[in-house]
Amino acid sequence: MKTVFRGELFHLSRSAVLLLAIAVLLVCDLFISSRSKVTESNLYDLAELPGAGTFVNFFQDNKTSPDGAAARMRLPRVKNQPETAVLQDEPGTKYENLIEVYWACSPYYFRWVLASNQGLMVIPLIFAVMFLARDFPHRVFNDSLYIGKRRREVFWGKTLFYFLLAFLVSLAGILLLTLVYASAVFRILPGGYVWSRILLHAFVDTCLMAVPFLLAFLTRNPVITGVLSALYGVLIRYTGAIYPAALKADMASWEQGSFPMTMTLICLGILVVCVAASRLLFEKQDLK
Amino acid sequence: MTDTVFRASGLTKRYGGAAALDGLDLQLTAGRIYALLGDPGSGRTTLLRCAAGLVKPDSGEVEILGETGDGVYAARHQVGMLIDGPALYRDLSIRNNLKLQGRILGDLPKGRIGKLMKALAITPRDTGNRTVGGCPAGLKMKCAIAMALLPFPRLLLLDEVFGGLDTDDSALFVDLIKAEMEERPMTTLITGQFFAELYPFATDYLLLEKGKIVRSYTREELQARIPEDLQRAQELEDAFKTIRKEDLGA
Repeated sequence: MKTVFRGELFHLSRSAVLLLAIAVLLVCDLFISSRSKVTESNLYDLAELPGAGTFVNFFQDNKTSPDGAAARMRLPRVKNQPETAVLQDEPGTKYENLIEVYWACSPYYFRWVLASNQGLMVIPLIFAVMFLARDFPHRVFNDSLYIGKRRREVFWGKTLFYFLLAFLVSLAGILLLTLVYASAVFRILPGGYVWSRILLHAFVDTCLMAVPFLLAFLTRNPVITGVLSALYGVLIRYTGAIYPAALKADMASWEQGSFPMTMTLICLGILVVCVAASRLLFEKQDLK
Repeated sequence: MTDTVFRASGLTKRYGGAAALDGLDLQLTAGRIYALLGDPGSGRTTLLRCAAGLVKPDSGEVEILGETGDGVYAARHQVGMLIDGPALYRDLSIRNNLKLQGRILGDLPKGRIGKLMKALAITPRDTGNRTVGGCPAGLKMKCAIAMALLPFPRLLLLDEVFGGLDTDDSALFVDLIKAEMEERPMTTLITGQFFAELYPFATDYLLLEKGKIVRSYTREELQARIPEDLQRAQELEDAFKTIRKEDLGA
């Protein structure tokens, strides 16, 4: 398995096409997510931002600081107390208006970055096709089998590489989004709070990549895999099936102190089932 | 120590209602070059796929270098294969495809890739940064042959290589096989449809029909029956068809 994994790493490092695919993934992620970012015009029309409406209303109604609001709503304490918060017409602070304060220190905005992640539509499509499904018509699995590698070695080498790369790409995407749209969270929120949420979201995204992984083994065809993976991405994004509706609910409970165990277990279950089914398929399939 | 490097016993493989292999028995002896001849659909590629573990036969057994069952995995470390055309990463160059296979093999001596590329006249101009996807079919075939020879195999199983090579490259390939056989004991099995391609090269000829070996010949037997002055491919094909008809009645 180790040598197969090393072979995959070598392939990635020498393939301009694969490296370009990753770059395209990250750019698409940023672009698609940016289409629904908070702007001045939609700040008070907050249908898309989970929980943000409550926060902003409270903040406005109570003329309080973000820190004060955080304490009342049991959010983590901000590390650096910004200057006294200002509503739109009040002078005297480093922030010019409510929007900047909100963007700078709202953990709800950070939660929106994590929970929306609209690039998820694109990742399954490109990932499953470029990093797995193409190998079937090109028959490159055969080269490892010819020299005596067992199917399970080839499978696990490929699987480890696929999910490790999926995790790293998800992590990079979430970090990029956070840096571009909510970078202040690194400065003003506790590191443990920020990183635990980033890592859990990357883990959730990785687990959801297991379905396109299984599709690739089922269809052994890059075109069909791509189409089904794209439909899958659209399904989970727009119907809220499993993610992000359940994630929103669980993440909200995390703000109250309880770790989103249900969500984590569901995602882990998806990963285990899909990998196990793929393993069985690959073991039994006749290869060309 | 046995001289048998490969044995198939009662090998059967069905696809739907059709038997690609039908109780096939085959034994390959060390140091020989076997030509496995058969028409499309006769079972040549299916036999090699069974040997490689790409498909599981419905019944029968494959023995490689004296190993059966689980032991064949270790035995395959000493086998080179090229089945049903080159299986290469199209987004990598020729050299990087070979290097990748070298990584998976794990303990390839330095210089092996360069030596094989030189022997097959795969030049820096051919390789460079060009990916396999942009290479002609002959170059891809040469890369696949080099890949099969990377692990210094004792048994080489090649599926229709001559169809992908021009005259010059075919000559290079034959010279390379002979050079490899001088360096270490190696048995080669090449499948093909056309007798004329394989006649000058092989030491033994196996005729495969409907999933079974129906006849085998040594080179000496055929030389005694084929006039020496026949050089043209069509003449050789016709001569072999005549021999086949005499022996099999078809």
